[in-house]
Amino acid sequence: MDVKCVRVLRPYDEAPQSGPLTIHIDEDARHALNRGWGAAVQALGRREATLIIAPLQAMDQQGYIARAGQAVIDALFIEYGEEVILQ
Amino acid sequence: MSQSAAPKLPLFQSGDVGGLVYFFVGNIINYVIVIYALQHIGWPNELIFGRVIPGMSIGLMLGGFYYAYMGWKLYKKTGRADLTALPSGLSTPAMFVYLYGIIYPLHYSGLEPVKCWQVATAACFLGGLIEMTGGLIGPALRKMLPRVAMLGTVAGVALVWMATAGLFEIYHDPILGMPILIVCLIGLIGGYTFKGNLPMLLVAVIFGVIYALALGRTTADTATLAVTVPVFSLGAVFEGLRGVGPYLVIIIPIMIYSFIETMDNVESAIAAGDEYPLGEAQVADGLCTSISALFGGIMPNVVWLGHAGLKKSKAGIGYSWVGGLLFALCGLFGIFGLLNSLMPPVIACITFLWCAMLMIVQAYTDTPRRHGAALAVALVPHLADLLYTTVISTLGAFEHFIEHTEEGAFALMMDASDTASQALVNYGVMWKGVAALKYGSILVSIMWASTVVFIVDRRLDKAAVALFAAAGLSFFGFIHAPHMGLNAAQAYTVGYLEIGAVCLALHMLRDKVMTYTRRYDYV
Repeated sequence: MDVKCVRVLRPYDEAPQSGPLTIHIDEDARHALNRGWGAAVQALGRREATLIIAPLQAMDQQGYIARAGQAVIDALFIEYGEEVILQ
Repeated sequence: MSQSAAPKLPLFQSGDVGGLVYFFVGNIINYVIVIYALQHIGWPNELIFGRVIPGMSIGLMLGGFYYAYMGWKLYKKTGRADLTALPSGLSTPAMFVYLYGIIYPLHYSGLEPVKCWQVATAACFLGGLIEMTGGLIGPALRKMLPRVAMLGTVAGVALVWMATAGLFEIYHDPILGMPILIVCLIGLIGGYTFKGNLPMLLVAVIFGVIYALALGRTTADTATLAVTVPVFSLGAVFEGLRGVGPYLVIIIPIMIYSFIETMDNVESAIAAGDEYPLGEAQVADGLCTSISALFGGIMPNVVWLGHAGLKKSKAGIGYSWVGGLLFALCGLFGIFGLLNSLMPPVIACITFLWCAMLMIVQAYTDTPRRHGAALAVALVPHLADLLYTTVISTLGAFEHFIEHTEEGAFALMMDASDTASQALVNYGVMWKGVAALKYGSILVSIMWASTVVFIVDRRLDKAAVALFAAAGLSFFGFIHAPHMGLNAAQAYTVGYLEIGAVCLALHMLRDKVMTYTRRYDYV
């Protein structure tokens, strides 16, 4: 089980507001997790949640960040700017 | 349609040179410590170089081979060629405990060296069996414990045992140590290489050996060179089992420490990107330790710290199996004595320093920032461990042993109830607290770091569980007590029960008696 710690920022404006809980991460993080895009990962914030991983846009690659919507933030019981562990 | 070929995993690559230095030279330092300590209490060279060293070498050989094999299996599973084998070696804290908690007391109880060695091999054999059981519960523990609790305790061990040893040794001999250090740092942290892709670490090692010879700090000693075939010593282990009983209370906690050390270090490897199965690594440790004991070894094997540093240095699996082979050859031909005489300790100490730096940085950067307080707390018990060990080793060097056990053996144990401890307390040293935190320091570190994480993450119920678990550990003497037993550390048991109850009560009443926000930045 691979692990990655990422800092969660706000989602892109055009990101869908509904559907499965999704977190956007960079290629390095996906590589560290050893999963493919669309795979489910366990996210550990103050609470735990299962999230789907999706790619960040090119401008955010190697930014050591992730982006996710308010539903994910609430599920993990964190706030924007805090880190979560993906595994 | 053509498919791109998967990258090949080299059996040896240039980055393995640095890994080899870390694995081989680092363990040689431990060999030097063991040899010196055993010679100091009069063990004959025939026993040290004929039985102990070959046995230890077999353990390290098997460990090196097996961790390279695990790396190969991981490559086959993931197709990734950028992986690094787990570093293996003698457990440094356990080594000191075996030396000063078992072998020295046996010696001062009047046992002759061969009898001492037999008990030590039995202790090592049992230690290996205990390590193996860690393979059964290790993965479950890993899921329960916060990540920073494990990485934090690794950082603590790295800080107090590796970084300090590294820098102290350099400052012990600055003329020799500083030039080697700066070349290493320029290469390892600055990322510079000499033309021809020559690693600066390799250059520093070769330069260091030559420089030490030129300064007269080292000389070549060939007295130990001879073919020494390891002897299967099952009889010695059985003989030793009859005398090992009184030392189980020392062996069990330190081997639990060792399998947790392995657990932490495998976690560290996973954090660095290499997904090794924890249970398999712990069983391998235990088997290597027990087999080593069957051939005369007296020190346990663990997965070492430093995987992240080795990965950064682009080490693969080559350093592990080549290192294992070198240990076998050196044990077979008695080369350790010669290497011991040639290698300035400062070289190993620089690799210790580098890997310790990586461990500490990883603990801060691979965990949520809000857990930083947990990391800070996790470091403290290890400082107590260092302070305690330094003081009792100093006293032991003058053959000043504190307690006289029921079996008539002297033991290097102080719990603030004896004259020397009381003198320290009277002199203003907070010795009682130091001794309490030292016993089971790694478990104390994990429990407190977990508690702080759960508080930060608004989970006072989980904090209560962690504190109740700490109460249980105190009750049975795994932490805060020099001996295991029932009600071994009563005051601490009560203390943990009290604060666990507070956490539980506040959790249950949180909406009635407290206000809190989702996020609170304490810095």
